[in-house]
Amino acid sequence: MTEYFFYFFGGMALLSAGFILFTRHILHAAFALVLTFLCVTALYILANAEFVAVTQIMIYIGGIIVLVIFGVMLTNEMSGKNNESSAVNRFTGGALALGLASLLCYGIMRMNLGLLKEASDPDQVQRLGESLLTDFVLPFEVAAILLLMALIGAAVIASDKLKKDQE
Amino acid sequence: MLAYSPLYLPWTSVTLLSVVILVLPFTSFLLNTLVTNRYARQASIASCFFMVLSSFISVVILLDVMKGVPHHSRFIWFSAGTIDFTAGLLAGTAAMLLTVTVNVVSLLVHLYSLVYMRDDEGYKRYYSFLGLFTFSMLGIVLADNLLIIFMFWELVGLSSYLLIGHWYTKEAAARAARKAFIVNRIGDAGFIIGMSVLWMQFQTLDIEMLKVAMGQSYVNDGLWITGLGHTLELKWLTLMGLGLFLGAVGKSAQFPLQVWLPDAMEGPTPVSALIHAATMVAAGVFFMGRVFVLLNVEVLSVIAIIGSITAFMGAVAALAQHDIKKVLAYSTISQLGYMFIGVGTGAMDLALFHLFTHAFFKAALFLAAGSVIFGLHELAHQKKLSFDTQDMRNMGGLRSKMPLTFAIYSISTLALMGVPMFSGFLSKDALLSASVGWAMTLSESGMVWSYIVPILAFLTVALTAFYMIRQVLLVFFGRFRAAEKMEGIMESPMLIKVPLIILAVMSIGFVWSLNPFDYNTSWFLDVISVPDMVTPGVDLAIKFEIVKASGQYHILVSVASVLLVILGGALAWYRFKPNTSYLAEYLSDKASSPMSRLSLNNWYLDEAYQRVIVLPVNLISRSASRVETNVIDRAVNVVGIVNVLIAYIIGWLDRNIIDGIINFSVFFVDKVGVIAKSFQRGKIHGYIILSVLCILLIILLIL
Amino acid sequence: MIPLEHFYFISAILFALGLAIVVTRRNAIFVLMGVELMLNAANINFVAISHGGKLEGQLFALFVIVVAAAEAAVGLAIILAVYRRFKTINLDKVNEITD
Repeated sequence: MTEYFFYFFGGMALLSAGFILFTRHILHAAFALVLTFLCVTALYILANAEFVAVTQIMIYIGGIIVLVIFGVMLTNEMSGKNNESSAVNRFTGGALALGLASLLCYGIMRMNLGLLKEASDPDQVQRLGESLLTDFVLPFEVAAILLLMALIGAAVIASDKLKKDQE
Repeated sequence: MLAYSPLYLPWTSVTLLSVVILVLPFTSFLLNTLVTNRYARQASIASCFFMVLSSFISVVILLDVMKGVPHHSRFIWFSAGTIDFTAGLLAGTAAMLLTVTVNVVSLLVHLYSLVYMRDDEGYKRYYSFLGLFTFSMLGIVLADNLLIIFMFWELVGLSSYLLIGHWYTKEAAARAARKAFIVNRIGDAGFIIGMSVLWMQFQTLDIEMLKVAMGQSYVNDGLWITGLGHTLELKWLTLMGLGLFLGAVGKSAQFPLQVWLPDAMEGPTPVSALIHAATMVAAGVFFMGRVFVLLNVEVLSVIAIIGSITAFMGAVAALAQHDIKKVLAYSTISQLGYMFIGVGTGAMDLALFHLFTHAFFKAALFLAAGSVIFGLHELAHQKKLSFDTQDMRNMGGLRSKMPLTFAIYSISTLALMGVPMFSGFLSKDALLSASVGWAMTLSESGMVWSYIVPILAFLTVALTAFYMIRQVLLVFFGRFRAAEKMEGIMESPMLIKVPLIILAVMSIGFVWSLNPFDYNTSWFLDVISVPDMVTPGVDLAIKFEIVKASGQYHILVSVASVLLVILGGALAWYRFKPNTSYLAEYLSDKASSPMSRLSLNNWYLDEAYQRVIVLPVNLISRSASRVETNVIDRAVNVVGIVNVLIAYIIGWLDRNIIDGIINFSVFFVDKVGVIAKSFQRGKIHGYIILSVLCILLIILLIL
Repeated sequence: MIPLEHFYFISAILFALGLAIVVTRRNAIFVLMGVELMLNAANINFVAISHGGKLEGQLFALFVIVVAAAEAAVGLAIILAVYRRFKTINLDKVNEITD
């Protein structure tokens, strides 16, 4: 049963990602990205990572996608003709992506990994929280500071004031 | 360094005053150089006052010095290694006497020139050089050190050159100035040799120190050894003396370097009086006096012989001159010869005596001649006549128009001839006695050749009388020959007359000696004494014998010289008295015997030098120049061509190989840069593609 | 059960697609989307590997998400700034190196 879900969501993720690759309309691409993220979230759930899945939905779909759409709108990419952006390096890009994919797949095939083990851990989220505040407290705090800096940095870079100062 | 008495001798009031004497003429020089032409007259009058002051101070010092010991101040000029070089000022009796003479004659010439040079274009220049000359002359007299003396010696040479060449636009004047300068240089070479030997031997050039050091040195087995043991061969002692004498020969116009003096008459007449009668030419004699004690017997004999030859040759050359100043010039050479006879025979005091008496009467003669020339010049200027104002054939009969000049000329002439009652008699008589005594003493020890000195000296007495009487007759007696009438010839103005009178008074015998027939009573010889020779190998006993012998024959010598004067004068009178046929022939240039031509051309010395020295030198230089152009230049050219060829080859190699390598590397780097640039042109996609490619490669490696 | 390789295959292909987007697109926002895709592909790996009671993979995935959020925020801010300056977000034209 879960195998079918896995292949369905996996296929959906790949398809929507492929749509992003080929569409010329940026808003369509944004929505396709949402779809991709959702499918990936489903894959997380299938891999027994509920907390990561929730985080993915909250941050990516709730945060990043909104940001992207804001970016699209603020840069007039919606109204002008520029929102249809042509592709470059088609051949090179395709070749590279193909080569990378085949190489990775070849490597994965050579690795001979086992099956995904069944998850039966009801207090997984609790353990996650505990380790975040014990073993991984330093990366956790660093991540917090990183987020703060990113917040301030983004605000500064995007503000109009900078432009005025430059002039 | 030798351990002499203290190097430093403190300044005294006398030496400081001597410095003032030195500084005054130099101030005059600076003043006349720096003022504008507008104030030239005022500056020259100021110069006269400077000279008055300088003369006054020098007389004061002389009176002080005559009472006792000389004043000597010395300081260390510089130190080089362990050697301290001193410089200083020595005010002795002889030095101060000459200082007074130089100052007084210079003052008189300054005054005289106020009129004589009045309208000259180079008036300012003339006065400034007069100041420079006086300064350098006083420097020679007062310095205590051979090197300092040499420096002033050269300055005298320079200022004499400048003054002789005062009318430098005149070819003859420029040539004469050059000649004087160059001939003097020959003498200077000797001076330097002498100084070098002394320095080599004693490491000092201070004359007082040299006297001490020379006294300590001794001769042993052909070697000349100093008190400190420094040794040279004996011939260096003679060479030193001869070198110093050569310096004096150049400056004092002795044979064979006397040729410059007659030409130097191209300068203004007052300059001739100052430089070429009273001071500069006396510098040589005075200098010999300073170094007298350092000379040895051989050198003294040479000096005596050279002196007598010069005296005779100068007198002969004076016989047939036409130019009024040239006669005096040759006469000066001749009288300087007398002085060197004095030096050579050991009668240094007598030589100095003659130097002083001669300085005054010769200056008087020159200035009187200048007065004559000035008068004729004024006449020529007024009447728009053109004739040579210095040629005696154009003169005659001036006695009536210029009585004072005539009187002074006569007095000075009598003094020069050595007529009793005049100063020249005293000094010349003394010198003749000394030479006779010297020859007598030397011949006793077999040196009969020494008689040549008194013989030539006596001959010269007669010749002197002849040419001087001839000159007086030609100039002042007979008929005036330049123009029909003598109207317009005026006696010279006061400023010319005053110096003449002063100088003429100094030519009277009473001034120099209370008994004008005997030089032994002269006050001059009381204050000047002959220093004892300190040179090793000199027998002092000879000196006393010479003095004794001169005393014995003194009366005889006096009588003989007076007789010779009368003889010479009478002969001149017989030939050149007015209205004789000989005079007429002479004036029309018919009476030119080989003898008179020889005299007129000064023994053909100039021609001889032209043939013997100038022509060969020209020949050598011409052939040297030919060698230069044909051999050396060609060799240089060949070397140059070879160099150019090599340079071409190197240039080719440079361009094609070395530059090629460089160009290739530049080309290579350029191409690599172009390739590298293609990755770095700001295309983000390019960077990404490249990095992904690299990642792919890494994965390939890992797998 | 799902073989672990299949997670990796999906992850690898998703990553390759993200790369293709990054390389071929001119629009900066597209490029940013591609980058997010590649990050997600990596996350799949992390999650898949932390099976069987191990939590380190999940924790890593969480940190990646956090950093991705920060990256997206800053990246978009930069895109805005670039747009203001160049009046375009076409990466070919955002180029001051004169060639």
